[in-house]
Parts: sequence; C-alpha cells; structure tokens
Amino acid sequence: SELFSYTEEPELSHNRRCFEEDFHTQVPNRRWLELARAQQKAYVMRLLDGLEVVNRDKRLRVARAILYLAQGVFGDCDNEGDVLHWSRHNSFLLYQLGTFSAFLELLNMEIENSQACSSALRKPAISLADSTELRVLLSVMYLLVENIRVEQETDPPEWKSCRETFRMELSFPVHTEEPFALLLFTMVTKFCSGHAPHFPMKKVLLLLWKVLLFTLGGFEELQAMKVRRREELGLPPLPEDSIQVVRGMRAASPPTYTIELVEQQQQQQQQQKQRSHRSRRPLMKQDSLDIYNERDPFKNDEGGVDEEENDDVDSGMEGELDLMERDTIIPVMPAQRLPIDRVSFPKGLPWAPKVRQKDIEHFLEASRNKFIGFTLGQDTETLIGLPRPIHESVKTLKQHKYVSISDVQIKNEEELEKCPMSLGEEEVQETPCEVLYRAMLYNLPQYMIALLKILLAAAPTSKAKTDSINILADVLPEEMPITVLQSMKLGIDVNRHKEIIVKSISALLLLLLKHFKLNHIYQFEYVSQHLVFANCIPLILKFFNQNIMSYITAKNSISVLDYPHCTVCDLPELTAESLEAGDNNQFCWRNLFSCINLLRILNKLTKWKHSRTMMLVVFKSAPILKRALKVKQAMMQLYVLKLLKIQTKYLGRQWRKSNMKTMSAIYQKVRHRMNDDWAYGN
Amino acid sequence: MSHALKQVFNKDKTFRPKRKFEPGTQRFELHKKAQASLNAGLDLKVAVQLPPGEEQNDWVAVHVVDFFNRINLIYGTISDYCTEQSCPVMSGGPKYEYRWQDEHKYRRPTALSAPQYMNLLMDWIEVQINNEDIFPTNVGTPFPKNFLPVVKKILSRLFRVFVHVYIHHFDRITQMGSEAHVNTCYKHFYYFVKEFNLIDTKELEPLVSVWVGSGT
Repeated sequence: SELFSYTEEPELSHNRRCFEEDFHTQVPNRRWLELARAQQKAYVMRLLDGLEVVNRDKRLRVARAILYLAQGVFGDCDNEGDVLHWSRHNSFLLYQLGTFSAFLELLNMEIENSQACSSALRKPAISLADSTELRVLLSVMYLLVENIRVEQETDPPEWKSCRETFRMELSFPVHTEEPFALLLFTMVTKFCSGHAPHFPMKKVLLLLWKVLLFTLGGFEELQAMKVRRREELGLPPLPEDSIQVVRGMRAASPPTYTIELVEQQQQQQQQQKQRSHRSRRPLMKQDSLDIYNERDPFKNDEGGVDEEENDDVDSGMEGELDLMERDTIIPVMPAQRLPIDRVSFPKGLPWAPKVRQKDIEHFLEASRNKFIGFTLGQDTETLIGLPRPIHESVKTLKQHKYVSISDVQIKNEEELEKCPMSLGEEEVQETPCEVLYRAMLYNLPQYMIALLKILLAAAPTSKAKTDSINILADVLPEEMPITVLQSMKLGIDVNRHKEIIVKSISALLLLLLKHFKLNHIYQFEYVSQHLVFANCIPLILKFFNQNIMSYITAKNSISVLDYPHCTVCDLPELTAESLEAGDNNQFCWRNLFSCINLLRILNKLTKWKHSRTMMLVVFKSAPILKRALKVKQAMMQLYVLKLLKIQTKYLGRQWRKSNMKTMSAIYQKVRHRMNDDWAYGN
Repeated sequence: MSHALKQVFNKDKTFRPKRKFEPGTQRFELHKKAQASLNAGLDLKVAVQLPPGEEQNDWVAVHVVDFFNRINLIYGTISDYCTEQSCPVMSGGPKYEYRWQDEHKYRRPTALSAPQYMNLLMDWIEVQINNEDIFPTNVGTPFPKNFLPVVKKILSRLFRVFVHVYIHHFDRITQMGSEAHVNTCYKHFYYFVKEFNLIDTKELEPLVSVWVGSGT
C-alpha cells in the first residue's frame, strides 16, 4: 500500500473504468475472476497489443487497464485477501506474457520524452498530473516485481520457475544492455540534476529497492551466502548467527537522568565481570577530552515528553506485520515484546569475543618491546623470552581469532599485485552483484550523491524551501486543498510520502553496502568512500538530531485509505478527529525500520576507521545517539551502542563517569574485542 | 618545592577522625554484604605480588592507572545519587570527614560536598597520571625519585572514594546488584596497597570493620 499515495486514490477507480470499459466490450457479462486461464491469457495479449499504438492517450488507457489487473481487479473482489490473491495471480500471468518487457520499453520512451521534461521544467508548480504516465508504468512494474519476488508455500512450480526467469532477466543484461536497476539509478540522477523534476521519485526508489532485493537477495539470503562463502574459503564458521542473536536480545532501559522512574527499579542490571586479561603493556594514558560534561539539552523536556506519550510506547514494541503492508515483509525485523515487570538477563553475553590478527600482532609487538627490546614484525608464533602470562594471553587471543572474508580478499589482492605475471588474471564470478557493480561503477559517485540529496530532502528536520529538488512532486494534487480536512489529509500524505522515501533509500543503501562487502571488500570501500565524501555521516547524525520518539511513534497513515482496504470497504466519513487519532499501532514500523537502517549504515561507514570515528566525536554525536537510546527496541539500541562504544575512549573520563548506564548497556549488548581499551581511554 | 608538596600531602589537615569508634547497624550490614564477592578463582593476595623480573615502579604505575579507571566507573554507577543535597560533606560516616586541599583554589583544607570533592579528586589524579614526568609512557624513561610518595597520595585519596561509596551509597550498589563487583575491586585494591605499604593503617581505618571476620 505504500506504493500509492492517498492523493492517488481517485485514480484507482479511473483505472478500473479503463479496464472495465474495454473488458466488457470484449467479454460482456463476465467477470475476470470467472474466466478460464486461456481466456485470461488471450485478453491480456490483446491488451498488450493495444500498447503499441502511437496515440499517447490510448496507450495510457491500456496501461491503466493493465494496472487494474495487476492491482487485483478489486472491483470484483469482496475483501482484501481476494484483492491480494488476484493481484498476485495476475502479476504472474502478466509477466509470463511479456508485460514487463513491454513496459520497460514504454518506460524508456517516457524517460526520453523530452517534451514532458521541458513542459515540466516550465511549470512553476509540479504536481501529480505531470507524472501520470510514469506513475502508471512504474506501479505496474513494481507490482510485478514485488508479487513475483515474494515466495509463498502455495506457489505452483511454474511460478517458481517464473520467479527465477524474472530474477535472471533483471540481473543479467541481454546483449549490451545494463541491468534494470541501472535504469532506475539513472532516473534518480536525472531527477537530482534538475532535468526531470517530474519523475515520481517515491515509486522509482521503492521499485529500485525491491529490484535490488529481488536480484541480489535479502538479509537472510545474505547471511546464507556469507556462510557458504566462508566454507568455500576454508574459514571456520561464524561464531553465531547474528540475525538470531539480535532477535533474542532485550532492550535496555534508556539512560535516565532523574532518579524516580518506575522502569529503573525493575531493570536491575547485573554486571557480569568478564575476565579481562591484564597484559603488561606500557602505560596507556587517557585522553582528557572532557568536553561532554554538559547535560543533555533535552533533559528538561523529558518530564513533559513522558507525560504526553502513551504508556503504550513504553510497554514494549511489537513489530506487527500489517496484512496490507505487503511491502513491509522484509526479513530481519525482530518482534520484541518486553515485559516490563519481568526482565530476566541472559546468563552470558550475547556475542562471542573476537580478535583480529592485527590485534594479536600488536599485542605481541608491545610485549616484545617491553620485555625483550626488539620487535619481530608480523610474527605471531615466536614467544621466546616473554613471561608465561603473556604466553597464556596469546593463547586466549588466538582462541578467539576471527578471520573475516574481507581479510582473505585483501590478502588475495596483495598477492595478486605482487605476482601479476605468475598468477595472471583473477577469476571473477559473474554474480548479479558483480554485474551490478560493474555497471554502476562509472557513475557511482553521482548515484550516491543523488540518493543522499533526496534523503536529506526527505528527512523530517529539513526545510523545503532550501532544496533545489522537489520530492513532493508526485504527491501534491493539481489543485491545492481548500478545506481544513483536505489540508490535514494532504499533510499526512506528504509526511507519509517522505517517510516512505527515507525507508526506501535507507534500505537500499544498506543492502548495497552489505552485498558489495561480501562480493569484495574493496567494492564496499569504494562505495563507502563516496558516501562519506557526500557527507553521509553528518546527514545521518542530523537525521537523528530530532525528537526520535515522536518520529518512531508518528502516525502518518490513514489506514482506511490504504490500498487495498480503500477499494473493498466502504469509506467512513473522514473527520478531523479521526485523522488526528490515526491508527491503532503503537509505533510506526516504517520509521523504526528506517532508523535502524541508517544506524547500520553509519556503523558500516565508521567501523575500524579512525578518521571517520573522529568525525563522530567532532560532530558531537554522543548526546544525539544517547537520545536515540530512548527507543526501547533492542536492535536499534544495539547499533546505537556500537556507535557510542567506538567513541567512548575519546569522550573523556567525565562522560564515562556520568553515563555509567550507557557504559553498562554497551558492555552487555555489544560484542567485546579482546584487548580493546574502549572503556578506559586512550 | 618540597615544602609545597608537604602542604599538599599534609594529612593532618585533610583527614579528620571525628569521634571514637561507634559500632552501629550500618557497619554490621556492610560487613555482611562484604561476603559477596566474585569468585573468579583468582587469589588476589597472590596476584598483587611483584612478579619476578618486573620493575616495582612499573608494576605500581599500571595498577594505579587501572584502579583509577575502575574506581571512576564505580563511582559513576552511583554518581546520580551523590548530590549536593544528599552528601553536602565528603564524609565516610559520622566519624570521618575529608577536606580538600590542593595547590590552586584550595590552599587551605576546605569542606566540600561529596560530588565536588570527587570531581576535584579525579581531575587531580588525572593530571598526575597524564604528567609524563611522573608517569612516563616511554619504556626507557625512568620514574621520578618522588614517585612513591605521589602514588601514596593518589591511592589514599582513591581510598576515600571507596569509603564514601561504602558508607553512603552501598544501598544503591545493592539495588543494582553490583556489590560483588565493588567488593572484589576493593579487595584487590586493599591487597595491593597492603603489599607495597602504600597507605597508612590509620587511613584504612574507616573500612576496617568491613573485613573483620570475613575470612579474607
């Protein structure tokens, strides 16, 4: 349902009319649902032929009819389940008859349509009307991709093969064409450059995200690929399945400044002291960057904020998958119900400690320096002359050594460079990811810049006036609202529109980063670099520099207007009160998802990079991140805590002293790295 | 120079035992709770001994920094509850009160609230620790001749943190369930200072009863 804005609602019936007018001339007195498969096929073929006319309006009508089919012929359905069922059924049918290729051609035509571009550029205010054709085309393509992508147990085998065919079609270009995703990327940059302000970005981004999910694979698929790859490289298996671990984690209570909060007494933190190995290293000093003594500026507001918010928010968050929100069935979200009154703590820490090869080398070097006086480079075997406790330390470190796929890839690269002649060309597997990267490489910086530009414009704290791009072009109606009710409805629609854009961009960026990293670490580094150059780090921090609680609990949806509910049920009278009341959800899953994605991206960009970590410090991210801890959702907290952990040693003793609750949470939830001095400083 | 130092280290003025010892319920409670400790299988009494081949100053220095860090974190866990109102004086029970003196603003021993005292204390220690002349970071650089007296002052002041936490904020520690942790840290600290005679017995008095009969 996120595909359609509320302002598009009138078009739904328009689509229906287009279909029915044509359908009833061909097959009078019958319903689509009653037709036999062969007849359905025949009809669709006829429709597809109808696309090849010169007349633009006629083409549009046919396209609308096809969209109606893809939407699920809701006119003939009684309930939402039916609509979804037929939407799925029809999507497979349409695909099998070549609809996607036909629409791809049309899309290309529309993109090249310079007339539309120039007329759009001339207009002072762009609205929905300017992107009509594009929106129909993209909606059809989206429905096809999404319906076919999602696997259901009841699928007939021919649908399974259909899925594979489609996936191949999208991933691997035929002849010299580029993968489909690239076309969408190009649309994004074109939009951002100002040449095509009428492009409906929300749909483009949603489609791009789903195409990437489809062709590359989602998070669970990624995890499986990672496990396989480790096996192939002969690496020991992963210490734990991170998706499972995070699912089992419980949220911690946020850092509180006032003493009396009911949760506090109930959440007793048992500090489990892990044996830390005291290695005799030369004296390490603390960095006294005590610049974080100041109290949180939001602190005084906290009392008021707590009063306003419902207890619902505090009593735990459950990710409820709304039937209608098919778009939101993404693997990864853990459903957490936190019983506030009965918090039990796991016996051990959730993550096994890890040590890098580098860490072992450094440790030995420091010890050798101290006890022997000279160093042996990267040797990690020679322990002569070192006292026995050091031997034991090294043994323990080695027990927890973790070699990542990236380490192997880097080593590989080094060796290839050293002996280019004897080792020759590297054999690279042609995976969808590799193909995509190759195609994206040339304009990659532009793609990243464009995505971030749109993300910035869609962020809740940005002011529309200063933007050079107008991301609301595809949600604003031609005529501005007159009544108060209409304004409210539009307001909600606009906010929803922005939220969906943020969600798409955050999700697709994270997906790309993860896939590129697995494919080859240097591809990941290249993309990260361009993101950082495009100011991704301050952008994400700026995003979090808002009232996070209100963002997470935002109710920018009018559930009765959501598709397909609005088509099969009678619409109640919308009043200002009902709009304000919103829906029954405790929080906005969509926004929570976006927040977690952005945090994960930030983590990926800054991990192990000193200069980028210092950016976090310099941008004073600590108070911003701490506020984000108020959201009692374990996964979100985990990624916030990770970001805080890498900074703690630079934040100074005072900060650490005043933020013991946060320090404890980090200890409990974030994986330990042995010999990591995070808690004590430089 | 040494005269000024003597000022700073003038114990008679900053440490004031008020009255004769009065056994009270509080001491008994504390003593009971001191039984809780982390049994990590490590004999702390042995662990603090100077290992063969190790230089004593080095050994001491590493421990001082480590204790400083840890005690800082321990205080941090209850620092929200240690306020001007709750602890207007830096005390260790009705019998003991500590006053702050340094070479800057507080030339005369001054009675301060506990949070103020703590902040000054930690800052002061940090300055010492970060001073390369006292705590050299390079492996080759020797320690100053007055290293041990400086360390003694640091440790006896750090000890006062324990006193205050135990006497005034231990209920909070218990509420958090971290008494074993604090106890073990204190045990470690205690054995260490005893091993190298770094704190006078008199200074250790406020917490003596905590260990009486505990079999440690």
